[in-house]
Formats: sequence, structure tokens, C-alpha cells
Amino acid sequence: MSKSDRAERLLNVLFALMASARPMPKSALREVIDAYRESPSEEAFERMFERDKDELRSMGIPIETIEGADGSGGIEGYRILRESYALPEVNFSGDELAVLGLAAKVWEQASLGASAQRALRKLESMGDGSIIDGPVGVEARIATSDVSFPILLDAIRSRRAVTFTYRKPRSGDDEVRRVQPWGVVSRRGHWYLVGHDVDRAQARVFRLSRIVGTAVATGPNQAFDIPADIDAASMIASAMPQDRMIAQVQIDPGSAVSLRRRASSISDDVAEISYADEDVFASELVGYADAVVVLSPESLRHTVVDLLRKIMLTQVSA
Amino acid sequence: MSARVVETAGARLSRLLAVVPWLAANDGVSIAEAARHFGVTEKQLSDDLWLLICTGRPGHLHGDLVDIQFWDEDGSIHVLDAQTIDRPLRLSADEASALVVALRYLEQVPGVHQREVLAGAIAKLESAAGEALAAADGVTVAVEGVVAEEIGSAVARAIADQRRVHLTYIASSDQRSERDVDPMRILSLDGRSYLEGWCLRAEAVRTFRLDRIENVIILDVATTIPEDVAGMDVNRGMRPDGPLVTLELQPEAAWIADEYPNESVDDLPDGRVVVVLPVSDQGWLTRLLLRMGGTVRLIDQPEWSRDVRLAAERALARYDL
Repeated sequence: MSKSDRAERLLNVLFALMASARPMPKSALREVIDAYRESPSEEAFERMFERDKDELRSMGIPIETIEGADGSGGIEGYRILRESYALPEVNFSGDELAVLGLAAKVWEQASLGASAQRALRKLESMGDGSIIDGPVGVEARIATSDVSFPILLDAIRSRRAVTFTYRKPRSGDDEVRRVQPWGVVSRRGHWYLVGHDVDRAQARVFRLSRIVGTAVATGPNQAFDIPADIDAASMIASAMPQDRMIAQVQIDPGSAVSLRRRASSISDDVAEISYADEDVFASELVGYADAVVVLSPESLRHTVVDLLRKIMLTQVSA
Repeated sequence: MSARVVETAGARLSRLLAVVPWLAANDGVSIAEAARHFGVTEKQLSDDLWLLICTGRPGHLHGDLVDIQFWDEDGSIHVLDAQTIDRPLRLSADEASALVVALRYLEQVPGVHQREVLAGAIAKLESAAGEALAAADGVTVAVEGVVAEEIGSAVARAIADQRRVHLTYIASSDQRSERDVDPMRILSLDGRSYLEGWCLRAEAVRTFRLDRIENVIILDVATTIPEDVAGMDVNRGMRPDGPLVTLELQPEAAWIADEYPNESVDDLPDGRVVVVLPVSDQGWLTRLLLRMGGTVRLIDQPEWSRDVRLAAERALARYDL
């Protein structure tokens, strides 16, 4: 059967289920839809109808199954209520449609991009006809190249657990994690998953790029609730190291501008700067070469000196 | 077209259901315009219309069928009877959340001055999408870098009014510089926002991180951007246009190959990685090599390697050892 025939049949089934005032029994559908009437056997018809019904429902078409009034649990028929089918009346101004158009271009990832475009196509019929004055000079993109991204989104939506192999940040070891996913957050160009780690019985944060291979959804839908009070973005922020230590750094006049901007105080070119992780901060300081000198703490001084020595051993010209 | 795009029946039906309300709302559009709008060929759109007029309520008598007139000489389309698909199908959870997450992201982008418009679009979308929107709460895009409100709005105003700006900018090499720029666009890529503009000093298109702009003065000069100048292709991401360098990464520095756009990546058997990547300039690379403290070796630019070593030597000399 050609694609065109199937699209036509699906559309006719949709019209039939919307037109009928009462739930339409399967037998009545078999009479009015050509392809159903012509199917060679009852089984062939049933299979075809089930496939069509699934396809329509997967597109979001609300086909209701109505049970018989006799209480036997038998199915009386199917229907589509127009008010559940149709997008509620909204009237977008031309300017609003223009920002919707901008939003629909934000997703780089194919499936999200296609969803956004489909939504836009629908909403574009709901314009109030005013002139579209496109947003001036703004272009936004969100990249989502992680292969697990669409799987996680789907699992969050259907409240399904996921299993994945995760590479630990420091050791580089791989571990299988089972997680009830709550949300995904993009921060500094990376995507993170926030969820309940089933084996550790704790809320945890995972970086998507450290998932080895692809995450797999497991178990039933609606398997858990997402706590109402979670704030995924702040969970990720607090999973990052906090600034707890303070260094005194001498900065040459007019240099290390971004470092100066971070300082809590500066006097006589000596800046006080708070930091979270000694190794991370030392490497940042080394980036300023001889424009900065660490005065304290001593351990930070040592780390910086070590790094500088290693650089001299590494960058050997041929 | 060389490759035939295979379209599923579901995808086609989804378009058919969007086509009818859109045509009804835009009475008289041509087949060419409609095809362009839905991103299909004119042949495909006209096939869609032929299919639509063969469908309708059971019985398929006159008055039961979708009625669309599209054979006028001028190629204009008129929907005479849309039957029960005169309104679009409500938004699915995927569709609603993809749009709303993007709108909420745009709301945070500094300098986007259509705030009321965005808020209005979000509110209407929320009322139209209803429950389908619950899924959007699972996705957050955090915007990076603190951009002072006055910087963002001055840049946006200059773009709208097509006026030159004088920037005080801290480059990634940590040098403070003053320059005149004819602003073109605000780009916001993965939470980080930039001003893209024609830099009069470089006589080239440059991008400036908004959170590194210290000060903006809108000049009383109209922009003069050469006509053949185009902005960057945002789908390629931020990619430096300087020379290519080859770096050898120790395993703990292997993330560099993921983090920066590159030409090639070779994994060596011992866990080291060799990556070839473009750099904006020597200053940027020097800072990267210093910060990586010996876990990254520059292979193919001996002069630059020497400069890095000398910089480390000067820095060491400042410590009493």
C-alpha cells in the first residue's frame, strides 16, 4: 500500500470519528472506510485498524474508547471530540508569531527542531493578521548533540527510569547507573541530568557527555513522581565546587583584567580572590604568566610553581 | 532533487492537518507560497490538495468532502469547506515543550528587547498548550555570564537604530581594548551571548562576548557595513578562523578534543590524543598551553612553543626559589 493511500485512509478515519455524534463501533468504521471494507478478513481489518489507531494517537489525536453501558466492559465504540482535537482559540499578534519563529529555530538537534517547527506551523494559522515585524538582530541556538538527550526527555515526560554507563569524572572508570530522571539542564554549554540515583538512594547530577554509549529507558511508565520542590539548575550549581578559600595575588598594573574583576578587594595591586579548587585556580593563574604572583596560601604557590616547571619541560621546541 | 525523501504517512497527515487551517487563514495564497511555507515542493503541495479534496465525512457526498479551490489561472488557493479540520490539531507535549523551552531561553538572552512580546507569546502558548506543557519544566537552559542590563540594552538599541558603537572590551587574551564596531546581531549560543559586528579596526566581522564588554558608547554615526559581509553560520558554532595547530593531549587533557571545534582527533593506544584545531591567535593558544600546565604539548609550531616556555620561565623568576 502506498504512503499516500495510508495518509488518505487515516484522514478519513479521523473525519469519521469526528463526524459521529455517538461513539462509532468498529463494525460501522469497517463499512464506511474503503480500505477496511475491502480487507480480506476480519483479522486483517482488525490489525489494520489497530495500527491506524496507534498512528493517530501517536500524533496526539485524542481517540476516546467508550465502553458499553451494559457494564460488561465491552467496547461500544470510538470517538474524537472536536474540542479535545482542536487547538484552543488563541490569537497571536504578528510580533508574537515572529518571536515564535525565532524560538522554533533555536534547537539544533533534529527531533526537537522538527517538533518546534511543527508547533510553529500550527500556531501560524492562529495569527491575528497583524504585520510581522521580525525581532531585530537576534539569533539563538541551543546545541544538543548528546545522543541520549531525546531518550532522557522522553523518559522524564513518561516518568520512566533510565540505565546508562557513566564515566566517572576523576578516575575515568565506567559504572552502570540507574536513575529516575527529573530534568535536564544546560549549563556552560554542557547538558546535565538531574535525578534520583536508585542504587545510591540519593539525588544526583550527571553530565550527559560522560554517558558512554546511549541511555536506555527501562521499566514501566509513571514509575515515580518528580518532587515538586526540585530546582534542577540550583542542584547543578551546588554540585559544582563552592568558593571557600581565599588567595592573595599580586597583579601587575593594567594586566589580568578578568582576574581583577573577580577580586573581592584590591589594594596596592594585591588582590584577594576566593576560589573553590586549588588545581583549577592554579591553572587559571598560570594562564596569566608573569603578570601575577601568588603571595598566599603557600600550597597554592607550590601548585603554581609546579605547573610552571612542567610547562618548561613539556614545550620543548624541536 | 537527487535523493528522494521518504515521508511516513504520519508525517504527511500531520502536514495535511496543518495545511488546511493555514490556507483558510491565508485565503488566496499561491501554491508556490504555500509550498515554500511548509518546506515542500509545489508538486507535493498540489498532491496534498488533491488528496484532501477526496477526504471527508463518511458518505463522501457533496457537502461531506473537504472543498478547496486551487485551479485558478493565478494559482491562488481558496478553502471553501474545511469540514472539521478548520482548526489545527492541539500541540503535542513534544511540540509545546520544544517551543516553550526555547522562548524561556530567549527571555533570558541579554538585550532581547521584545520582552513584552515574548511574555505575551509564552502566556498564550501556555493557555493553548495546557497539560502538554508540563514536560517543558523538565528542561532548563541556564544563561551564562553576568551581562549588565545597560550593556545588553545599549547593544540592542544600537542594532535596532543601526548606529556605530565604541566598545571597551576585554579579549580572551585578557587585553583590554577600545574599538569601534558596527553592530549586526546578538548571538546567543548555548547560554553564552555575543555581539556580532563589523570591527572597524580589524576590517572584518568579529564576535564580542557580552559579558566581556566593559562599556558601550552609542556613537552618533550610522553603521557602514560593507554589503557583501555576512554574519557567521550559527549552526557551525563558534569556530576560530586562525591557523591550525596540532596538540598532543595527555589523557587528563583529552576533554580539549570534545570542548573545542577541531579538524581531526586521533586516539593513541596509550590514552593520549592528538588533535588538530584552529586557534584565533597565538595569545589564546599561549594561555591555553599555560593553563594546561604540561598536559598539552604543541607539536607543530616551534616558535610558539618557545614563547610559551619563555613565558613560564619569566613567571617562575618572580618566585623566590
